[in-house]
Amino acid sequence: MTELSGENYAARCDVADHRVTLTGTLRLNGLAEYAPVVALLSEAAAGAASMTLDVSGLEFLNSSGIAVLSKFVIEARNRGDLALTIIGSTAIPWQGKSLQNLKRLMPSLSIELR
Amino acid sequence: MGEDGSSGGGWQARLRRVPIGRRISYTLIVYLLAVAVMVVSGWQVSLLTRSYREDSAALREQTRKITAIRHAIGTLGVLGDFFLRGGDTSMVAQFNVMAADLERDLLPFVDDAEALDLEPRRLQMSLEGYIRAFGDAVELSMSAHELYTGYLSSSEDLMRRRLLRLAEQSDLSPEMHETLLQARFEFSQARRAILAFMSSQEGLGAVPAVAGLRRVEERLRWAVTLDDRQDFSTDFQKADAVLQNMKQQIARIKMLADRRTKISQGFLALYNLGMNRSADRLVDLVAEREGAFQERLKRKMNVTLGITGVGVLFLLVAGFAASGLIARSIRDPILRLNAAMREVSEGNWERDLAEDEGSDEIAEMTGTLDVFKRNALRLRELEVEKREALAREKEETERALADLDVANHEIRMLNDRLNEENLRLGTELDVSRRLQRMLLPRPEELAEVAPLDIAAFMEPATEVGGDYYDVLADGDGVCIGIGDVTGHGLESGVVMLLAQSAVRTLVAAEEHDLPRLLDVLNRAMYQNIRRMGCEKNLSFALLDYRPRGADEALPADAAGRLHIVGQHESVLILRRSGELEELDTLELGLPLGLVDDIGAYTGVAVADLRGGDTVVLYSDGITEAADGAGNLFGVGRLKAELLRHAGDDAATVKDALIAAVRAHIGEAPVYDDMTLLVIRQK
Repeated sequence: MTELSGENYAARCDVADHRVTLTGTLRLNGLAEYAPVVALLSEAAAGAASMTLDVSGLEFLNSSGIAVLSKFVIEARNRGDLALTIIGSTAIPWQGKSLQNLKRLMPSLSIELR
Repeated sequence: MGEDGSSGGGWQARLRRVPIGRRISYTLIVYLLAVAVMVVSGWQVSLLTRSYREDSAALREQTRKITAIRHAIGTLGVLGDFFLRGGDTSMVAQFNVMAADLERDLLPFVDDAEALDLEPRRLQMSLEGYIRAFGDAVELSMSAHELYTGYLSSSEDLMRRRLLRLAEQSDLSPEMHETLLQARFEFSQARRAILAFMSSQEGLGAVPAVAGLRRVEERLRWAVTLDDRQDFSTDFQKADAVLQNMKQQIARIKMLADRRTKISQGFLALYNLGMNRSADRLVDLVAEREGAFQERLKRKMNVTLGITGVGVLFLLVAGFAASGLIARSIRDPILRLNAAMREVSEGNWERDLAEDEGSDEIAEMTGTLDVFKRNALRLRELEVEKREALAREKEETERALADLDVANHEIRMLNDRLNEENLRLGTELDVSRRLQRMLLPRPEELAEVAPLDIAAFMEPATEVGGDYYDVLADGDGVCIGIGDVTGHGLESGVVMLLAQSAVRTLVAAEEHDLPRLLDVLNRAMYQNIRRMGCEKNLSFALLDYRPRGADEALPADAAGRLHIVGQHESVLILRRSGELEELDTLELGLPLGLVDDIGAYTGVAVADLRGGDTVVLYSDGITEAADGAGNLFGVGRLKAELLRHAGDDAATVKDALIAAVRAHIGEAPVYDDMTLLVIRQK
């Protein structure tokens, strides 16, 4: 279990379960500041056949954060053997469009909206 | 104050356990009791006095009645005596009335006989005896009187007439005449004696009467001797018979008189004596009784007054003592406390305040003051400790300061380095800002676009983001680009600059195949971003406007047509009629620079514009502008504000929308660049 937290947000990685949960408001500046989050996602995905990313508690994600997620999804698609599921929420504005973009980048991506 | 601490102290200790207010109440209660006792005693004395006055009056009345009876008895005795000595019968009636009155007056006393030593009973008996004896005497008198009037007086008359007739005889010898005269004289003397006897009713009165009659008898016997011819012997015999008869009658009357005398001198006198003695005794008894009563009453009064006086005095003394004790139980501890406090105030901190033994308000106060004192003492100790600690600290500080000088030097060096870095960052920020501004279309360029009324707004965040927009004239038409590079700072600014340059190049090269234009643009951006070694990308949409021309099959009322390519925020179209359309650009592309080939993700949307239709383009800095509580402005609010301005010119709409966004943000920080383009078909 690895955890990250900062002003207004928390990121938790359950390695055994291959599950990453992001909550709060993520407004980190640029990819450099997102590196720990990227590391967390990579850790969860490493050697796993399936993985779940739960963003249903993530109220806001800035464009850098969306770029990070996009990169991660493209990498997952390129790997080809990772069944990725993203759990989102219809009540959060940024997720509507961004999660659809992710689905377009990786058609096998499974999105569960709550 | 402590001289009688052994006895007063015990009391005081006991009193001190009682609250002061209740102690004062106790004093009041004692005084109230004293007053109550006085009032009750006074009332009792007045009751006693009144009953005394009543009883006394009753007794005096009895005395008065007894005295009256005494007098009546005296009067009755005199009356009886007087009657028996020759009173007439009217006295008998008077006697009877008086006697009846007396008997009646005496009755109440007889009922009360026990208290008066049976004396009234004796008096009653004497009275009855007296009345009875008097009655007997009266009866005897009456009988004697009857005898006299019935026989004796007529015999007298007969005798007187015989003697007169004898004396009037004409042939009487002078001697005879003389003797008869003497007989008549003697008879009149005898008659006077009889009258005296009758009136005195004394047995002894009969002696002169009988003697008188004997002298008459002797004269007549003498005359008989002188009557030698015996001419008057019959007359003399008759007269002698009358005389003998008279003597017999007198003897009978004497017998009655003797009996009466026996009664009057024996029974009557005896009863009268008894009566008088009883009456006297009764008067004495009643007087005695009254005296005893008065004596008793006086004693009772004295006892009552004595008890009352002693009680009141006791209560007053007790009350005085109690209030004195209570006053002292309040005053002493206060004085003690005051003295102790003065000592403490003069600096004797060793003085113990909490020696008080009570549990009342003063004891509480003393306890509180002691706490204050102890606190003050503790504070003083703390101050001393603090002063010592400060001295120690000062020593240490001086030592530390010497060490600090060394560290300070290092810090100053580090600080200098930091300042340099800040300067570099500040410069970078400044450069990014200038880069962003440098290539925005100028207002006159917007005005030159003949068929469209365009108003633009761009405000960078404190840390510049990567917003971009451009308006490029292209033959008859206009190309309008809008984009947003991820992240902030110089790198984002450079990526934006590259995008602007590439778009301008492609438009200048008259590339009208929009998917191809987007694809070329994406490749250029993808490769350049890779070269830059950063992982930026940008959302980007291009709107290609063509006015109504010969080669376009536009609807009759349309003034121009928009072709839209690339993924960005929604395109809002407010129709002149007031209808609002939201055109989603999600399916028209992907963020540029994310993947090398976006051909598969590209699409083109078409929208016809009629005169008065307004198109609004915005960056996510507008919809994601947050207020103090973190609520985003959102597309909803943007659309609602836009709907209020159907038909307004582009500048008015722009100003209204920006004002709404600013009102929403309030004092909250602006995180991202805000870009707004309002395009109105003229």
